[in-house]
Amino acid sequence: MPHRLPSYLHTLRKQWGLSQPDLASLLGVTGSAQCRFENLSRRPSAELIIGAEVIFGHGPNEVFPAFYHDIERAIVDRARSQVARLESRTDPASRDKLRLLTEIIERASQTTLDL
Amino acid sequence: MSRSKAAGLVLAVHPAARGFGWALFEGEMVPVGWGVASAKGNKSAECMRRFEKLLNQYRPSALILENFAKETSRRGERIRTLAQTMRGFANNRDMDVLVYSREEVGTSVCRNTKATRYAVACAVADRLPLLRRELPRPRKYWEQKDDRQCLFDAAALGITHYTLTRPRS
Repeated sequence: MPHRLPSYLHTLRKQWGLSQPDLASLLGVTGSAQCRFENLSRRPSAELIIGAEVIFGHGPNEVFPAFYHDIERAIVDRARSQVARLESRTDPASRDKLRLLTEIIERASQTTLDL
Repeated sequence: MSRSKAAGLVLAVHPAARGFGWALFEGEMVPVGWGVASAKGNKSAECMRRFEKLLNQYRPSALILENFAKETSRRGERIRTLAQTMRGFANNRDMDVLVYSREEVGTSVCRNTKATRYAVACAVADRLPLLRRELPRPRKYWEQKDDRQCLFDAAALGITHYTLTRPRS
């Protein structure tokens, strides 16, 4: 999916012929809360994100791409500042940390290219 | 959460007597949202309220409507005015607004300019399996039009848009 919508919860629900009350009862939330999650007037909770993956088999980057990318962007910014601090260090622990941080930044730039 | 205007989202809308059908496309043959907005009481005002809600929720870059202004169109005055109001509303939001005639829809979806709306709906259901379960059964002559028919009219407009704007190789 090219991910142009901020949330695909509505699309997946309709794709499988579920009504809002059907999905709300599967997720264990009220109908109005589920409606707010669907139109993104409320940030999805951890229960909702995991519940959506259990129900539809799609990860958070596919069901809530906007939310996922907001978090990803924030983590990448923090990783960049940590990289700047670690670059001068040569000890093995710092090298390992640096490798992980570089991978985080590369993975994020790859998902941005995929969009 | 970032909610910028999503480039490339196309919203096709088909106003009818008891509301309007809508289909949102992310790309050719990729519907990501669809539904029928029913309206009672002050139907035009209610339709506009629902239409505005859709635009706020999805922020599409283009609106597709059927050309009701054509002389051959048999739409009622209220629905023509409603379509015109939707068009103006979308224009004010800097959206591209495109209108296609029923003949263009028939040609693009069924290869038949005189295809009935139900034949078009069946062709849409064939092309977009996600919508298949929404297809109403054929209408008996004494029955009124199924509300879900306008959903297929909207989806057919979306298919027409992508067919007619597809770059020719």
